[in-house]
Amino acid sequence: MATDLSDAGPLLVAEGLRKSFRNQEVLKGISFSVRSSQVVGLLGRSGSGKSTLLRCLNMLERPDAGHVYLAGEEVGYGGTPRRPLNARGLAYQRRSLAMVFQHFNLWPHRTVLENVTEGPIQVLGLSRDECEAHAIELLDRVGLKEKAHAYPVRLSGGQQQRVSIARALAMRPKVILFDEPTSALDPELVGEVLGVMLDLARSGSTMVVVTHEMEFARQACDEVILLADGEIAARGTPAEVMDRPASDHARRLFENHLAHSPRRGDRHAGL
Amino acid sequence: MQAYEWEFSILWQYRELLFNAVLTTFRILGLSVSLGILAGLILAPLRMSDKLFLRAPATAIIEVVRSIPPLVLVVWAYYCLPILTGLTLSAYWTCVIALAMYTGVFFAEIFRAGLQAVDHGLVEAGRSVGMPPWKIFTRITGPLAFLRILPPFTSQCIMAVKNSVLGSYIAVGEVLYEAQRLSTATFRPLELLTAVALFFVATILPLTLVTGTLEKKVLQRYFRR
Repeated sequence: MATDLSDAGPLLVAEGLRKSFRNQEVLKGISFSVRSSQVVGLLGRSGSGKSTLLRCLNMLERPDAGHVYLAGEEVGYGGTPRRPLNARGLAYQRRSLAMVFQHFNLWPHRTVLENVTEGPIQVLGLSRDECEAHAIELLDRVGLKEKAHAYPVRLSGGQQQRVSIARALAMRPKVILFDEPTSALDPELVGEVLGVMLDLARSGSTMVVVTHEMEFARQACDEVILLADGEIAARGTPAEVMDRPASDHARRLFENHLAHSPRRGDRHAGL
Repeated sequence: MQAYEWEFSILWQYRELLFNAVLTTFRILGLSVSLGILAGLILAPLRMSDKLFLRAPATAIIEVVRSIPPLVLVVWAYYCLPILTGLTLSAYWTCVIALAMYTGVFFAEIFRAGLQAVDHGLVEAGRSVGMPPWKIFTRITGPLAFLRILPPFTSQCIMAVKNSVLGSYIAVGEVLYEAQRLSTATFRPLELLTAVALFFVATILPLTLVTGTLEKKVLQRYFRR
């Protein structure tokens, strides 16, 4: 996707990210970068480290080593000598890194509209009127304007996920991180969420998407990164990675992955 | 057995004294429950702290106070606290503070359970829109914990209402103490003690009914499909 910002350097950079849980090394030094308006897909089997990688980008998991830069500024660390930012400093940076979760995580005690306006009002300090107008616009965009005053519990999974996308957009983030946004949905609800995401991708949002949806990756992503055992097994355009896997290892893994794609009926196997 | 002649006019006759006793009971309640909530709000986060030097004393206080019968706590505070601290409080304030301590440790455990029951994903959603920890507490975990703890919170308040009569043991002029005093003076224990029992039913029953309805509404509105 051509953009006028492409020569301004990458927007989001991950450099040598490492993370271990107990004695298990989940990320073994991952580096990649995302340009403005680019959509990057993180693929891989369950346990390959893709969700952990995504969560390291906004420091929901603190990596053991490595750096993340957003628009040239390091995320989660600052000062000389470099040390971890306190909660307040990190919160400030997270304003520009929205996230959409596998299980939606809408706040049950707030209406759909309040879920969307909560961040802008409470965190950005914008006026209620302004935020509500913007929220209605966003809800309209995800096709849920008429649900604005409902509580999340009244919505289907697909609707909840679309609200959570609107909630992410309301912060006007620089990058949106998607953590398996359709994995918790009933098969018939996957399409409506992917439709919204495809629309976002085409309208120039910068996105990093962890997904099992191969068809979505093919259509929406400018680049896909295939993770295996905490390392990058393949990277490139969807066509390069998915149709002409560079190595035998990648091909095996990828075919395997397709064979285990949730689309083929084991969507609920892990739940 | 001879039929007993009820004489409830005795209540009217001593209405002023009894009214003051009721007021004292409500004052003890209001103060001990408010102070108890305050104690709970302080103890709960300490108890949950990942720093041992905060967690250990809070846990110790909670576990110790929790295992003392409330009557023992009141009596102990009345006789021993002045000797140990040199501080002499009135029976009324001793009662308030002892009951606040007792209620407070239970509130602390209830608040902790409520906060821990909040789905961590909702906290992460707060973090991901850039909420600092205090905002996450006031906007997400606090309100959700409150909705979740409504039933145990009410039960504990009901216990506090019942425990307020323990003040009578150290001569605090609340309903039971005054009714007992009056019944020995007038030889009308049946009327007076029945009135005390009915007073508690009349106080607690509405509390149960209101929170029962509230609870249903909360579930219906936010949580139940």
